[in-house]
Amino acid sequence: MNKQPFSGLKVWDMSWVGVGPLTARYLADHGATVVRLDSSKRPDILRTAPPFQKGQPGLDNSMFYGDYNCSKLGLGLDMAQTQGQEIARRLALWADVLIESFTPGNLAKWGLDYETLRHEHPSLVMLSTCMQGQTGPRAHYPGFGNLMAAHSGFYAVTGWPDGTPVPVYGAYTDFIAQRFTTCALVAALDHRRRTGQGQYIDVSQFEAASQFLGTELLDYAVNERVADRAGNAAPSAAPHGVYPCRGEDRWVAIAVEGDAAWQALKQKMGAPAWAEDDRFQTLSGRLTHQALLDQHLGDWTRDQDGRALMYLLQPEVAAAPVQSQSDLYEDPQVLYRGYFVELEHSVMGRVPYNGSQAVLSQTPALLSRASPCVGEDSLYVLEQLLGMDPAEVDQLVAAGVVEVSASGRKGGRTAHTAAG
Amino acid sequence: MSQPTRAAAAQSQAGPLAPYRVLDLTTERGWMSGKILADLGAQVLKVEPVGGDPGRHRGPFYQDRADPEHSLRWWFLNRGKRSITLNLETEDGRALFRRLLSQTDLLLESFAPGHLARLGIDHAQLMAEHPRLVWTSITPFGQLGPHARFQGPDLILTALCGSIFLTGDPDRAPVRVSVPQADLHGAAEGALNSLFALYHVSGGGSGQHVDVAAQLSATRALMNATPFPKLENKNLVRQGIWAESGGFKRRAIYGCKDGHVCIMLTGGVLGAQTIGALLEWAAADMTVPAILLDTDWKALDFGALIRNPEKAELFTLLSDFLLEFFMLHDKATLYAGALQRRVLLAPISTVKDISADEQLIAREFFQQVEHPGIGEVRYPGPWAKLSQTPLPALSRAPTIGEHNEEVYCGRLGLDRQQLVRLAGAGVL
Repeated sequence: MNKQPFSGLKVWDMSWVGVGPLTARYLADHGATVVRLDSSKRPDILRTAPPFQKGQPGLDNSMFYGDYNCSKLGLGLDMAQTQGQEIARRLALWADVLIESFTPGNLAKWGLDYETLRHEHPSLVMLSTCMQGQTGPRAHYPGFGNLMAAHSGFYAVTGWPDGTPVPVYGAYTDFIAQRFTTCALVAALDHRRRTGQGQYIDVSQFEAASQFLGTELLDYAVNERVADRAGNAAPSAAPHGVYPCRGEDRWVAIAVEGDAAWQALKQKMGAPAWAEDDRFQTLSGRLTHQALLDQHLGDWTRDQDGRALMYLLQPEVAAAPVQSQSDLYEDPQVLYRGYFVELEHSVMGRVPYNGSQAVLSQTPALLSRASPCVGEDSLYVLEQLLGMDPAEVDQLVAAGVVEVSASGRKGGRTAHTAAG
Repeated sequence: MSQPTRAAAAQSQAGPLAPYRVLDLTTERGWMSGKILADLGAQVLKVEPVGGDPGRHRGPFYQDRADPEHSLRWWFLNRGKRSITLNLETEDGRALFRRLLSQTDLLLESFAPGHLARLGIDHAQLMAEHPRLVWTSITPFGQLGPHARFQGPDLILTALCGSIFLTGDPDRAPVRVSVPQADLHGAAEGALNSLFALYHVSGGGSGQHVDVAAQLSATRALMNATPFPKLENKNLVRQGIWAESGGFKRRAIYGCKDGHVCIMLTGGVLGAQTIGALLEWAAADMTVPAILLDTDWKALDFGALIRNPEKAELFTLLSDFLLEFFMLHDKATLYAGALQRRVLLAPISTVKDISADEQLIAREFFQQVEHPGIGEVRYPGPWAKLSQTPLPALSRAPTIGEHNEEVYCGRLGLDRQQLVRLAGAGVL
């Protein structure tokens, strides 16, 4: 197998929750050695959130945390202690990349801000990501992607025209921001490779997320049009909606763009009389009489299976079952791509990780290890990566500065190969 | 990549990707990919079919004038790129394409799988001829597999990726974000994986093919949902204005005087700060029920609620109380109060609210871009601040074939007569 793009790259991941850890995971899956900061005294909040293996809460039992942190080494460190801060600083000097998502200003207290670090380590690339950026009147306001998705406009355009806004599931903007942070970071690494220069990167998740409503922001700027909720309707397609299927909470999505697709749909339905209604023969007619059209179509789909309808209608008519999470594990295309990757976790056992959404033909992503328990790789990181003396490490463990997990990955200390 | 000296000269104003040349053949579904790279300073050349990219005909339009030069989606997603026209269905067109390819670090395309092969463009042969080339394909499902040839417009992708199953009111059909999102996830994923492959090349590795599936890119946005069937033997379901996790429900969306706000109610250390501050705040307007004041919210983290499911009822009581309180105030007042009190609350903003947002304005997020014959247009702007290689100033999207002469004559060395002849023959 080819060497991975980031083989040899050293990353100190001091971030937590979503965007920072997800960014670091991209690098880890593509060959970087990533050390992730952990602590059971101040755990990443994701460690306290579900899903838990067999529903049992526990810091080492959360796949919410796990899914964002595979391919990384876990270091348990108490940042409240001076010696903990000193180890964090040593790792910053060891690393090529430092990723952090503290409330702006926090790192300066520990001498880990970019202005301090760059004097000793000018080639460091440091990424700070927070909700609204490092500067400006609201730089210090903490938050989560769920709130940012509301604040940055996504909830207002989700739901039915006759109803209230509804949340998009999850911390939606995290999954926009993580892609922009990763692009900026890798671009900066490429610049560093050419020039030797490091730099500091400030990504506001608000600004990154706004890129996915950019056309609508422009539409407001020039036309004063305010994007609103449209249910599942589209301005230039009908039928275009989600229709009931056989079973509880089962649905099929059908999107008919253009007259050829409409003719194909009629034929696939067996040319029912209702579909020959003059009002449905043009797009403008179908848009005008959408409610009636949806009713007829829903009557046709109601007793059928969503996935079977997809195979009946595709590729001439765009159609697909509305998939639940368990459906994803049976989707033939998802299986073909090998998207979910099962890895053996020290506490949870075999668990499925979201895999790579892209296949690189020469250097495919490699989920090299399950996510760490708190402190699982502490000994390896300090002794093998930082070259610390085992006796000194033992003292730090005894003093509670360094945390070593009970499960201690493979005993921790020896014969432990880093990712990549 | 061009020579390092040239890179050094260009770097400071031009963004971190200044030396890179991108040939952007994408259809509308892939435009975002080249846009991200152009924002980072890459030289992105958009290749349009003769007559212009078909995606230019989809609204919204500037002043609602349906005109391929007035497409706002084109404006936003192709800003900072240059444009040439090229007819890949002609032999001359394909010959020009091959010449351009020899000056290209990254090719982006989002055609249906097999489309380029039908035009006689042999991917494998071109990759062999250009061993350092990165070729990125962005499609709904990927290049191969049982669904590879299926149609994947936004509604279909959001159904298959699992997101709409989780979105909307429980008593109505699943619902998508009304602004199409799935292709944007796919295209952004295409941008970052292209950069991984380019970084591999700049480190001495070979070029390669990057095959992106938009369906899976949108699946990633399910956050923590996908492991549930395997770990907890269940599916999460949509909760409308409620949020459910760890087995307890609390209201997420609340009406207020002029719209809606969203709050995140959890127990534990983080949630207790918000709840305590909210109750203290509300006490100025209303009588707070004693049971809410007496509850130790800090102790009610996910673990405690799973062990004591009856305690979840407290969050319902809290939600009902807050519903009355928020109706007394407007979005701006509530957000200002939340900032002051460190309450985890956000306004449900419209694009109008965002356009006036003081934080975005303070960070100079909105930038004026000159459009000839139209004047200055206010764009949502750069999305990262880089200390050494700041992102270049925004520039407008190109008109159809605006850079034909610059590219075909300047870069490929054709003379103007050849240009006229090729245009006459429908090649460009």
